[in-house]
Amino acid sequence: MAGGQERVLRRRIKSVQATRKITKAMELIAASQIARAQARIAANRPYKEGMAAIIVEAAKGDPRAAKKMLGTPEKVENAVVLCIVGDRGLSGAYNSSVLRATERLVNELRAKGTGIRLIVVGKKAAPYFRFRGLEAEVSFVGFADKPEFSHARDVAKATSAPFVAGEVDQVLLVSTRFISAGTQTVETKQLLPLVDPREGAEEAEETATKLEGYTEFEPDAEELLAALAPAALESEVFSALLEGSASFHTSQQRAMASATENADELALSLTRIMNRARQDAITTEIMEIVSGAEALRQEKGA
Amino acid sequence: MAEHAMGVEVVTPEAALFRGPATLVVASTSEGDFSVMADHAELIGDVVPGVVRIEADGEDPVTILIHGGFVQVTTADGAAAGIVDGVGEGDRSTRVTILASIAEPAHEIDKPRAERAKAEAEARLADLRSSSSRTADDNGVGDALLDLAQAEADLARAELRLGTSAVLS
Repeated sequence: MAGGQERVLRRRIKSVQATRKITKAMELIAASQIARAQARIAANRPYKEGMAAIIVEAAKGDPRAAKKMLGTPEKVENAVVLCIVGDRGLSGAYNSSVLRATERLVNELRAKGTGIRLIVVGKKAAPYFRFRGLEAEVSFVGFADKPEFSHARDVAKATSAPFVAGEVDQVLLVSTRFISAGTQTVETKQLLPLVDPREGAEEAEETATKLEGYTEFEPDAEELLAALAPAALESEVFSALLEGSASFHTSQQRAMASATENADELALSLTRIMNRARQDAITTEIMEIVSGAEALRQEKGA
Repeated sequence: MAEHAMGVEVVTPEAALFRGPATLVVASTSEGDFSVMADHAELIGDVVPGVVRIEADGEDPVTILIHGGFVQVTTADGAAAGIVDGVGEGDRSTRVTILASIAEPAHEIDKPRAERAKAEAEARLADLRSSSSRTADDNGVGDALLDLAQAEADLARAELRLGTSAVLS
């Protein structure tokens, strides 16, 4: 009877160790993906910053057109919410925290009477919202791990179409910002209209640059801003996708590291229990033999 | 001609294609060709699909094929913060940044691939043209137009690649 318990434990230890092997492998893979994703973020930075700098200059060149195209709309009747998560699970709170933030945002906007159209990236998003009675209008799947610029372009096209057609007044993005390998935060950001880069930093910058001469525009600033807007949106979406994928791998690595550690602990405590069970079985057996021998001896003596 | 150099960079979202000092940059905007040398006035413009040529002292000119983008010329104390690091040696007072969503160094153009893409786009175009004249139900027209535009854009891109590599070789 006691030996049966030992066998059960041995089988459990084996299964824990097999799981550990998987989680360890996933941890290592995720770790290597982090490095790659981070390198891609770094490679994207000059483009992103150059784009921001151009918009700042172009907005300065024609403040009136900038006011029309940039900035926060005063009244939002309909909005598109773009939500970026991963294609796979087993990544700790990465997906769920973005999804929950999106849901909160949607509920808030709805309470204010805003109509919501949902566009999602990542396999995990659409089922989550469907379960909550919210159908995603477009769902992009298959590139959350390793986004290419062409993907960003597709997403940007889908999200900007209702805005360009005048059906919505605002496009919001909920995604994970990759601040460093140790810190990622869920962030809600306005995609369209483009955030006016002069907002906030206005005073400080105005005195710092104080308009060094005259900037030429080819074509004129208004036309240029109109051409820049889609490019800037693509750039924003692309960097959000890149940061999302880096965050995904980071949080998967962390989740898998702790799962591996957990498996180690579990295997250790199971081994202890198993050893005690075996020891108990041996002790019981010895007791039985000894008491049997004792009984025989007493019988002889009597 | 030991004129001072400018810092030039050509960047795409995935990588920086060129980053270093140069004496002359030639490209074209929707309003015509332009070239930039050191001490050029600040400028922002769009770059139409075509070749950008970058010349530096004592080196072969670099040609990069750009499928549309933007150019910004700033002087060093202009507002182009963030593009400071690593841009060449020499005089840094003028900086040229070219942003392109798709670009490739001219010598890296994959000619066979461009030829295949051209043939494919032409076939698709011919196919679309013949079919769109026949079926014109109200729902399909928008899609057909979109496909047509896509095929035309693909064709233009392939032709641009081939043209550029023909000039080079």
